[in-house]
Amino acid sequence: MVKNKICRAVMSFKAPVHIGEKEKIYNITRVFAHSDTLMSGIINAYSLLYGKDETEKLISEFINGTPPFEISSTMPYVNFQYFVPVPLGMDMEEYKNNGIINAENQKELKKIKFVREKDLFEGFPFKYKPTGSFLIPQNEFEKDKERVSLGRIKERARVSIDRQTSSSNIYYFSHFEFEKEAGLWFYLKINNEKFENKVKAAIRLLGDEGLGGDRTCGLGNFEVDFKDDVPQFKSDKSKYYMSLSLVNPKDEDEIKSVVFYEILTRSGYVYSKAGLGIKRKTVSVFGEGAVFSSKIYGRVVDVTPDKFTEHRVYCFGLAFLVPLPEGVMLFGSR
Amino acid sequence: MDVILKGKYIIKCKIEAQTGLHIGEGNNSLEIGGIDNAVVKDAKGRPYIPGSSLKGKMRALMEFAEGKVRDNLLVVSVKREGRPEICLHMCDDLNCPVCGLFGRNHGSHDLKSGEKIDLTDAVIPTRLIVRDAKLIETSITEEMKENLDLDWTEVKFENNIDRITSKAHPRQSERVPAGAQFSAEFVVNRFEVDSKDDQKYYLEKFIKAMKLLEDDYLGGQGSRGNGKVKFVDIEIFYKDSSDYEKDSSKLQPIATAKSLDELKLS
Ligand SMILES: [Zn+2]
Repeated sequence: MVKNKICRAVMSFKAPVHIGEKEKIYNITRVFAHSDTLMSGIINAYSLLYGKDETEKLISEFINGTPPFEISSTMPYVNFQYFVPVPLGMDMEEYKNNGIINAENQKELKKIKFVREKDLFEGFPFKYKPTGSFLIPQNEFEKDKERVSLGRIKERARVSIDRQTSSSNIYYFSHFEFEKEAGLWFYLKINNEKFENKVKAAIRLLGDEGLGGDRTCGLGNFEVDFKDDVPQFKSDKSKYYMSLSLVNPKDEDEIKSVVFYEILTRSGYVYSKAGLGIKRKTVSVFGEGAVFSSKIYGRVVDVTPDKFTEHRVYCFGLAFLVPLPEGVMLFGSR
Repeated sequence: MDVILKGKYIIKCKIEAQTGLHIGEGNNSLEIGGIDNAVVKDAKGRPYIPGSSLKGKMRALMEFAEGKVRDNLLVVSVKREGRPEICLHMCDDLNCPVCGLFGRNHGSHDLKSGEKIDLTDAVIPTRLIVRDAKLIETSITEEMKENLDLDWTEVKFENNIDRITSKAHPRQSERVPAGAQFSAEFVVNRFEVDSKDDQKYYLEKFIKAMKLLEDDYLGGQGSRGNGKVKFVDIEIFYKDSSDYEKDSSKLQPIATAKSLDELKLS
């Protein structure tokens, strides 16, 4: 494959993001878009810019095993510090025993969901303390405890009014407001330069259109900045790889190489003009943070419902892998 | 159907409250010792105008102005005890200015007249995006602040008298004071639907909706003089779809005007 270019797409939100109604509102993970959702957002924006035929060409590149670009899921940044999910199977207890993490109890350790990108890839060179779901260096913690916050959930009221009788109906939904220097980011890897400008254009358009629900009321609106300040993922022969995207394994060997994982079910509706309201097929995927013992690729799954003939429907389960550094302490790796 | 984005008209302006403005937060935010009838505020306690309030009101006004409020053109959006409670206009006419601008919900709907309608074939992306309008803090001057009860708002006692029992229900009601300004942004997408270019059709319809809102009111208690708003310092930009391939584009306005009366589109 061509020389790859990795950059960091940093989304700064201009408006709150609408969280799905059915979810428990205290579950902030709903604010993050998984790689498959992000991918369909980008592809829809691409189609709006370049039309149906061009978009089919783009998709066929993915299907044929030559993905023009790759993306991770979205991940949080707070105070412009970029976080990644904790690799599943990372032995926090061991980090505590080694004096790297200073935690009061087991419960605090269990709550850690995100670590700073640079800490993970540099092998945790400092001393750390959990603060909510984030693990941050202890010295920063002492300095500025209050400010390690991604944002907050608020309730919004909406009213609909009958045109003839003026009777009204009030309903509520929750939205998430990001702190000023917080937001979401994802890795964007360009494999085929021919598509670079168009893909970035689609992501910029996605920002104007918005991510999540209630976009026509301005929610989910973001500005994107493509930055080159990503770590050098030097090792090509790592012992372990972590996926920062959802993964649907392409064959038995890929399934066998998974070491630590969590299985998520992806379902929902066909998102297109032709398919609105139609349920797509359900697929199982490995969630972000899954650890593999070899390089895997994942696949794009055809989830077109039976008897649906308008177009094919896909779920993007391609792995966005990063090598885990030497010495990362996983369960049973001591 | 093939829908391509030709570009976006971005309308930036200020919304000026000409009378007190009350956009309620709804009743579930009632705090003990708080105001019964508070206005919506952001995380920092500043009032704002939710995009949904602007969009909902403009849609309703356009439905009347375009002659779309008729039983056979209204769909039932909320039912109570099996009977239509809330109805609004939605249709499958691809040239409908209301649905084209404000959008349609997919799937099958009940019409108020009793028939059913399936909008699947008519659904295209909604052209209008209405962002939250944020308070321009300097618009509330030091002089105005002297007369305010809270940082940005005034609180009035209202005496609602029950028509039957004559019992009084005094309650507090919060309002954004007259003179306050909000910075607003609207986007009207210009599409090419199966090779037919929207041109300025929906932009013009949107400006009509702005004018309708100026002659009506926004938020609650409009019949008591609240909620009169005016659009001022209007700038309209055009962002071509090719601009998205550039890193950042400094757009020049295609039209500017102090008020809607002065606005002319070339
Ligand atoms: Zn209509």
